[in-house]
Amino acid sequence: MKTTRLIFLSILLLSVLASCEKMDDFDLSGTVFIEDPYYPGLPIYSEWGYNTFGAYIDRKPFVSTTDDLPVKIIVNNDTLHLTLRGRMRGENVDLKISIKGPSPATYVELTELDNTTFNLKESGRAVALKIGNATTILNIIEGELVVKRVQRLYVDEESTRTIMSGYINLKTFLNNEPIAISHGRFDFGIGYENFYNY
Amino acid sequence: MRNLLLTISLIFLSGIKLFSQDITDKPPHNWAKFVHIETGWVYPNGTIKESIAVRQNISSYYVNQYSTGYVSATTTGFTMGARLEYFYTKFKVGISTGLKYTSYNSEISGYTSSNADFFYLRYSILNSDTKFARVKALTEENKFISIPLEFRYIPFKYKGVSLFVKGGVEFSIFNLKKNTDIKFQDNAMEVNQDLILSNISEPSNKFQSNLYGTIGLSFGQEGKVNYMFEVFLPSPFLTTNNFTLTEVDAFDGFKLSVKIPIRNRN
Repeated sequence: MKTTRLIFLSILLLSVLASCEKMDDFDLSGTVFIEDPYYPGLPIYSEWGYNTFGAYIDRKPFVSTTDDLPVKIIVNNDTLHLTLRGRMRGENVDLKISIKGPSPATYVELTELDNTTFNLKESGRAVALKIGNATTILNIIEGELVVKRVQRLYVDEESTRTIMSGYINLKTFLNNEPIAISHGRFDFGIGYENFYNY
Repeated sequence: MRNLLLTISLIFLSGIKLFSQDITDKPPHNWAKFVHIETGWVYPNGTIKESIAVRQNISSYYVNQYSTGYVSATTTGFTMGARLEYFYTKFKVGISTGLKYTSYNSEISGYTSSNADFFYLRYSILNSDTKFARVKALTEENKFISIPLEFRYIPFKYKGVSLFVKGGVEFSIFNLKKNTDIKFQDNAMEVNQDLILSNISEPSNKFQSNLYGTIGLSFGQEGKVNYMFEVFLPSPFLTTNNFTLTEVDAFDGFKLSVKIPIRNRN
């Protein structure tokens, strides 16, 4: 009976310790939003893995929230899909950029995208914008995704995640009217919870 | 260090005795002499140095920002010393100098969330690899021996209470101790402490000096022991790069002291 109680307490203690480890990593997946004083409503450009993004869709700030994962990277059939999820004037908005070619097997291999610029008008590239429940495949006039810096992050000498930071700008049509997604910036921590390869 | 302090104190007290003996041969009119024994606390105001890369160091209070974490820097100082003052009673002004010991302690601490009482310190960027350490606190200790030079003026006196104002300058002559330390969340990171400190910290000024002003009250009768309390007005450091962890440019604080008259021997 005493042995059983001891085993039970050990399992309980190990579970608590294991959950504490997960909580440590969870802090790095949280959002740190520091407003850019020159672009009100948008977060600053940073390379800390602050899990934020922001852009103006015409004049309206489209920014990440603290509730939803700001980004998911899905690698499937030699195509890398980057889905940004946020809000614009109270509405849920997703921006999905698909790029044929890069196929990192893990989030660690995202470093192959370091200092890379993708012309979004070229073939093999697609951009979709979902506002509320309406999804539009965008006809790109001009635009680029700049992956300025990708860093493998080690915390206390252990590999934890990859930080990906850069810029997005593009011009397109929405409801038959030209619009601009401008001053876009992102700073993401990519880890187990938001990288998929299948 | 104890022997050094003892030696300096003996030299200083001997100097007071010899000097007093010399002056008592022909005491000038309207001049009084005092010994001040004092202690106090100072609070330098500053921010975390740019070279210390702390995640979530949100110091720009003029913009909208959000984070579950918080990181801050504090520096406090403890002082004690002794001064010899020559006071011209006709104009109620005095000039003094002596020796002062100041111990500064700086600390950077913070939390990432309500469950995580540590912050992330970036200590290495090499090619595509970036390294953070989970740190509970960064601490720095500085101990100085300095020589103050003060001018005191009493604009108002009523019975046993005097209001005085002071202006002074101080120069450090010995840097007794300079030490920086990291308290890690994970004790296993202790082996990397020296490497991390060499990566994050820049050399700071070995000596420091400052300009200060105080306003205070003195309690006691003329010719007797007086007890004094004074408050430092915001006072600037004359030297820069005074600390390894924090950028400080001014300080405030308060001081308590005892003023002991030196009687002339006739």
